[in-house]
Amino acid sequence: MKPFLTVMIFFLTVSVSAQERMSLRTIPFTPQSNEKVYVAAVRDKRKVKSLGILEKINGEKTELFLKDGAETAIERFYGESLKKDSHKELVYIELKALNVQESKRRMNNGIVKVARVHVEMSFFQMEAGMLKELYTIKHNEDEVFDLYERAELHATHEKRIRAALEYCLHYFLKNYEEAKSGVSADFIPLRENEKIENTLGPWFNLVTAKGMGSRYFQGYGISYTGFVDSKKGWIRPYETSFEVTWAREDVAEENGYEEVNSFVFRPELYFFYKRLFKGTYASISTNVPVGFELLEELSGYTSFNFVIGIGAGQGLRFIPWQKKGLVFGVDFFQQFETSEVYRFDLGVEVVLGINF
Amino acid sequence: MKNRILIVFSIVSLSAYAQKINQDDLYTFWYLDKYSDEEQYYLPSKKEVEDYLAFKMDMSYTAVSEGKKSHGTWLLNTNGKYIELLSGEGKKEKLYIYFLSNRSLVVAYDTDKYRLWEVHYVSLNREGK
Repeated sequence: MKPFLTVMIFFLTVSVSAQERMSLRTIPFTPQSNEKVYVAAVRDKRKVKSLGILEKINGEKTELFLKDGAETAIERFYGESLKKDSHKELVYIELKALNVQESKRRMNNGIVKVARVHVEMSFFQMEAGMLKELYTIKHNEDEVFDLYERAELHATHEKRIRAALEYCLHYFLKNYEEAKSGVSADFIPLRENEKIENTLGPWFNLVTAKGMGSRYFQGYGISYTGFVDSKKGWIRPYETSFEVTWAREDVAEENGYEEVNSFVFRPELYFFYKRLFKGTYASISTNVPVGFELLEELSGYTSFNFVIGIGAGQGLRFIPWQKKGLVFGVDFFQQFETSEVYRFDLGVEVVLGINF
Repeated sequence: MKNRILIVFSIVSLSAYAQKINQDDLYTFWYLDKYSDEEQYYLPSKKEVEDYLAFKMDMSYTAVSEGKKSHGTWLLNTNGKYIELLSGEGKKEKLYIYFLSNRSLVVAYDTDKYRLWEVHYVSLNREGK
């Protein structure tokens, strides 16, 4: 598969140092509801004419453009499916957004990469010598990939651009009769998907260390957290953490032990962040602490105890530097556990780490 | 020599990759046959035995999922190689087409819960359309 993708990328793109020009293939599709129109012209109204700056497989950053410009490429693409004909009515398109994005997000219990083509276009027709807007559509063409499928993700941006363009035209044609019948002086053009998110949220990687103290234990932990930032709604981060704790001296002695050390992983059951304002998040979680205790009795005899439990946490995270920098926070936690020294414990954690 | 093998391999891959979707093949009743993941095939559960998808030429569809019937409109995105179902309640579903002939349809539902599964449908066409 890899050689095929390498060759495909080679054919589809002509590298110009840090710029890449992508040929948009013209694969025809069947317009489903109306073939009475054809696209007379496309006007690219985007302020930035590139598709975006993306990281190539070798890590190099490159600015992506459509070969021959978006106007020509899109006219040619639509021309293959809606053939020019003097009996057909003319449609004019204004391209308001067309860009390619990549990010990561949590999927089930893992992390995946998401590729997006975001497009916004308006369709016009000439009415009494004036261009009248009939219909505007916004669309996100999203596709999910495994983290190791970087080559495939990169090689298929062009396919998603075609899919996004095809999608917009299908929806315009589906709504064409309704949009056309409404054209008059006070007509409000039809709008599709007006409220969709234009951009994929940036992905944050956090590696943090924590110092923790509870009624019975104290110790340290290390965590990896990954999440997609979002202004609205709940954020579902991915987190994995490991903790090493030991029972306070008096607690160990009361229970007849010289030392009690505990080693615990903490898979999350439910874990949410809520953005309070930029760089500040509240967190709530329920988790399943699982691991073992190493128990050293006063007599010197050592034994193991398998521990499992259910925990909850509430906290705050501060990420003042968005791209790279320090992260700090605080968590309060409560847990039931099959420990030899307690059944219910509660405490506080102080978190310090980096984001990248 | 190595380069030639690479190019031949690429052309073979390209032809396998670029299966053209013939929209006419879709206009029929597709009965749920089985599921598969990377390892094996799985039979539908008892609830799903009667499940089907029916695509009509007027771009409406009927679906039965776990015994529940629903209606809506559909469209084929040739470049994206997927079918979009728009239910009567306004819910959109995206089905990536992995394989299509007049007798067999293999899709993956583009939702986190089902993305890793391939869903195999069969039609009752014997000699095509």
